[in-house]
Amino acid sequence: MKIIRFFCLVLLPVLMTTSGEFLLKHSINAHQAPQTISQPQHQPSPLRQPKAIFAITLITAGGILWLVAMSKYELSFIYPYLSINYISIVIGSQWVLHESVGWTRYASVIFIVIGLLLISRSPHSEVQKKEP
Amino acid sequence: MIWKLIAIVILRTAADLSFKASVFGLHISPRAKLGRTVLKIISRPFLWMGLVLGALNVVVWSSALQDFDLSYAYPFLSFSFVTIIIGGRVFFNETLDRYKAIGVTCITIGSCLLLLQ
Repeated sequence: MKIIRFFCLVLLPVLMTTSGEFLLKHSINAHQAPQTISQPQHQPSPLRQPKAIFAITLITAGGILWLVAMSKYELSFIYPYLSINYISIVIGSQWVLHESVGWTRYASVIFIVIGLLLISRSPHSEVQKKEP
Repeated sequence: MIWKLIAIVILRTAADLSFKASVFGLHISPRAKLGRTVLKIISRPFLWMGLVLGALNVVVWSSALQDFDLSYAYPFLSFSFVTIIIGGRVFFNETLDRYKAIGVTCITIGSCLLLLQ
């Protein structure tokens, strides 16, 4: 049960957020792609594309699950898992979305991950829970 | 266009502080059932304020993604950790110890590195 709860509340939101962000960016990129003459000139907003709606739903649901996780786990335990988002998004942007990712972006993510790990090490990361 | 990313940092900070306010003082037991915990949280007005701010955040975020690479915009948003920790200190009297101070400094350096491009 503990493993299932950990998967549902910690790993699943990380997976949902990451895949949602990729899908949203992919949908926006596709919407911005040069149009052919046969396509209509006025396309709906990128937010109205089914793929984008699904992506936003994934990100929102992931956020809600994360909120529940924050009430169930110590922040020092779950904060480092947020690092997965940053690492996978920068690597994935290069490999999946074919973005040009320079050394500054990787260096930036390294600093962010170190920062998150340090914050999670703080003895004051967790609210002292009072048992009834 | 950088104003969009700054607006998202502000919106995320305001939304997260609202979410914090929505669970502030609830004292949810780690043994409490998941369904009951969710019900308790959704009855708090601050949660809905956070959701409205979160919805605005999604609109601005989608607009920002039209102007920026995901690998640029997403790490930049980590700056909201800095503003949230400062907000936590100001509004909820949370402790700002050296781990958090060095952590937010690292995140600030990371965000500033992005601006070098």
